[in-house]
Amino acid sequence: MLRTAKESLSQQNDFASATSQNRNDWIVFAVIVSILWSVPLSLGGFYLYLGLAVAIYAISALGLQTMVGLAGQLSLGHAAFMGIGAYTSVLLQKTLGLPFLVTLAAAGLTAAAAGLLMAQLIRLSGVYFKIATFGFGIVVHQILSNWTALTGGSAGVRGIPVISIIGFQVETRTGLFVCEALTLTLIYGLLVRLSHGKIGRAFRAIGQNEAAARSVGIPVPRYRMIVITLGCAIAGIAGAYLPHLMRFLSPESFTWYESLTCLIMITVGGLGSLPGAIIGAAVLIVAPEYLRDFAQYKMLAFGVLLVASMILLPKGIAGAGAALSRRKRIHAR
Amino acid sequence: MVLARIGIFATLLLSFASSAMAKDFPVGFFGPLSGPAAAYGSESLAGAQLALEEINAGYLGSDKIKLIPADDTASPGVAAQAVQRMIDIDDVVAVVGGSTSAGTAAAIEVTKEAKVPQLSPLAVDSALTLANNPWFARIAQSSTTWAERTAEWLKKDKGAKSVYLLVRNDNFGIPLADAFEKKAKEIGLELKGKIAYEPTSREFRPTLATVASAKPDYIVLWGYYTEAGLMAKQMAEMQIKFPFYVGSAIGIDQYREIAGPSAEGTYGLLYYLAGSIETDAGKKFVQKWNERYHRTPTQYEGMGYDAMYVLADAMKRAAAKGGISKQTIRDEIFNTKAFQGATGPITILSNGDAQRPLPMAELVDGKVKLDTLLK
Amino acid sequence: MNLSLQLLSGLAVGCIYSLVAVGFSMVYRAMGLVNFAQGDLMMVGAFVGYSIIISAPALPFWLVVPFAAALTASLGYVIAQSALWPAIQRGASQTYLVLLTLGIGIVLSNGARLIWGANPRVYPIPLTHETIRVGQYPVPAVYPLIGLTMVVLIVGLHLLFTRTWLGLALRAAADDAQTASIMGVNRRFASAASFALASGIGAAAGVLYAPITFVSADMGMLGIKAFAAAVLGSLGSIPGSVIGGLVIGIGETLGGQLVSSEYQDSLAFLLMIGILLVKPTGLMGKRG
Repeated sequence: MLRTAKESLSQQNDFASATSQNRNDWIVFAVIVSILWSVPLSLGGFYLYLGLAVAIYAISALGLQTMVGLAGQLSLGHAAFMGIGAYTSVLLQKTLGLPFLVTLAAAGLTAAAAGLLMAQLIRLSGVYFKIATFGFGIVVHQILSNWTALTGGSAGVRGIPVISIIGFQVETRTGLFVCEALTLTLIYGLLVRLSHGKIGRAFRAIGQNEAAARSVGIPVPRYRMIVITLGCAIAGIAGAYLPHLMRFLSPESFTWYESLTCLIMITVGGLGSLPGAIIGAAVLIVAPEYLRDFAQYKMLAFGVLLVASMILLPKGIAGAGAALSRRKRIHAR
Repeated sequence: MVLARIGIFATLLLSFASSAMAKDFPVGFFGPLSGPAAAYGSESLAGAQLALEEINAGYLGSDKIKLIPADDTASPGVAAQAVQRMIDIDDVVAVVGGSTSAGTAAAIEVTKEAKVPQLSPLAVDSALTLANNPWFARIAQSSTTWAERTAEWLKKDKGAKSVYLLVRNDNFGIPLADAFEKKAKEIGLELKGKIAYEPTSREFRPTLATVASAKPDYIVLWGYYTEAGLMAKQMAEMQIKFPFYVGSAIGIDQYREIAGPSAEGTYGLLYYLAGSIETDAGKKFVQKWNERYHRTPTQYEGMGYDAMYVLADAMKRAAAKGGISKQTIRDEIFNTKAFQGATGPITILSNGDAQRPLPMAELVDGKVKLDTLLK
Repeated sequence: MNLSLQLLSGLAVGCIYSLVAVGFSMVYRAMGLVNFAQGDLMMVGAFVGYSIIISAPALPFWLVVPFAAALTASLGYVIAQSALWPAIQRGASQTYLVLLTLGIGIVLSNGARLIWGANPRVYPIPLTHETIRVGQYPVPAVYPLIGLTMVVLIVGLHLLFTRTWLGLALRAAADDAQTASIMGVNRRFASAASFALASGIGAAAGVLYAPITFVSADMGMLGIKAFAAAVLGSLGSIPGSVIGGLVIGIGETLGGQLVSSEYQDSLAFLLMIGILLVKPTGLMGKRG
């Protein structure tokens, strides 16, 4: 009797904290999105270029965060799915002349299909699956570099077509940024929404403890399959923009180091936090620009950042920010 | 007499005008300064910096060049971003750079878009100049030239009848191998086979065993020095002996260290070999380098040095014709005719490719010895 | 003749994979974590060996191996105590631990690049270029040394784990931490000691591999293939790791020729994924 009362009380508390969490997440969403839209556009020039790069990697990192941070499905081959998206989109644009919105969707779908293929490997338990994702990344990179007839091989693809949306040509940096920022806002919003729903709760339950999730009746394999496919699809969409930023496409943009960089982004930003993924992407792309004289220390610094954030700030920058604001609120009371 | 006076007057006027408008021209430099390919970027940067010292001591009158270096870690994305930054923030009038083919391929898309002239010291991929991009030129020969000269030299000078190709599977190795294959067919040099290997490979024994069983006259490698070194070493360990051509690896110390005694007798075509250029400019450069660093310059240092000078020379001519701008620098780079560089006379062709002597060399007693200077 | 020669070189590289894989397995058993820095510890070991050779040229090569192993093992001990133990104590998730060791790996490889430079280093000893004859085949002189070290280390580990108090304590701590701590085995020490031992074995592999090729800061990538070997032979099992290493070593050498050298890197992983799909716990794993 006592026990059930306690349980219902804790459930109520859970519910209350869930709704306030819900509200907080949307406030953060609003803040991040308004910074995203205002800063690069108002600064312009090279900052807009950096904004383009940040937006692409932020989208990709959001996908990875959903997989890794939320649902605990570590992927060591994330860049490969960006590559699949990038090549799908550009090749469809170039060879079939399809409009960008179609090729963007196709990029997401192809990457999702590849993700679904990789997700079949979840039969391999825990650790085995992780190393299999690494292998998957290597295999994809080798296919991109060697299937010359399709991808142009290691020489890369030149002459990236201009994005055209419903007859409107996106030729300027501003135009491209608007496309990217729209995509990012949309995906970020969808993920926030998703994370509050039934699916999101299931993801988190799996991420915290797979066995426990299974015991409360969550169909774990199905949800793992869903989250892996979703994360990979988002990477594919991010990848579709990359060639338009660089005006050149080469398999070298999708190596193991790029996958590692994506992982550092979500870790530094805060494992499990969606805004953290965006902050992490921004930090890792913008910071080196201001430390150009220390270029040879860049990777070392990233590594130190990763280790330090894992030891000192297990919840990353976003987590530290949240903790700080919580503390402030307690003081205010 | 009158003419001379006018001449003096004009010079005075010109020097007055230029000193009144003395300017620092920002010029970007990019290449791999860190990571496994760092030697290509940092050595060509060192060469460029020595040239820069001389240029800023009056080569451009009172004008100076301010060099802005950036590390592209040989990655196309980083290269594109670095060059974009030079253009957007530092407002460079020209970019010297591109030491690897992947980094250069990404960067030329940026410089073309921004209409900033780019001059690469080392990138060889023939695809880079195929598009007739008016903003990109290089002082390194294209992979087609490298491969064709090598094929002709093997056939004519060495009397080779057959070769076996080993190719690094990336956009450095593949274009070289393709051009070589085409030329070999044309001049009747038999191709016994071709194997492409992954850039991460360390174990070439299976490959080399296949090559040996085909018994070619020459083994021709289009790859990096690390692979060249390991192949030479593993061939020696397997006691396979074929004349081995390793490309520009022959000029790199680490190649000789990795290969050990088996490096002896291998052939290679270099960008530049110190001491092979008998002109004043060629001798002066080696002497200066010796005074400064107490050793002879490497091929990449020579190329970086000349790239800087070709650019400065174009700027000088542009200034004499009316003014230095991105457009006039571009025009004058493409007007470069028989410029007396440290690495030989350089002419830039209309597609941006270069005409320059290429030294074919052999390793004899642990030293790189000139075989022939291919014009 | 070609086939036997390739089998020999596949075996030699396989031994290197095996030694690194043994390190993976030991750390996995003792600490329950997949150490992605194992390959980088091997690389550090190889560089430490280089520095030893440079500063003490008279030292015989077979003595360089234990010295480099000991130095790298102490580095491993420090890493385990300072960075890994706090996370394990907190009960951090697998994902977290993998990311932590990845980070340690990045620090090690880029730190090594700053210390020893970006250019590859070659051991300046005659062994690097010497060959001997095995039967009628010429092979690098370091091959027998690799085989010998491998046997000595595996036998040594077996004796350590079955005959010494330390070994028994390590095993007890790995298999049943609670009981072990009741028996007075400090789990923190046991974890760090296992990690140090694994680092030392990795360093030995690095020093022995160096004369075959060269030492460079990106050499740690080899460790990832060794990981495939450990998984293939079933993670946590030392005999499994040895067999897995040999299978990948030989499979790569032969497969690279049979299939296509362009896809050589993919082979190790395809082999691993294939075997795991058929036998989910690896070659030496129990059915489960």
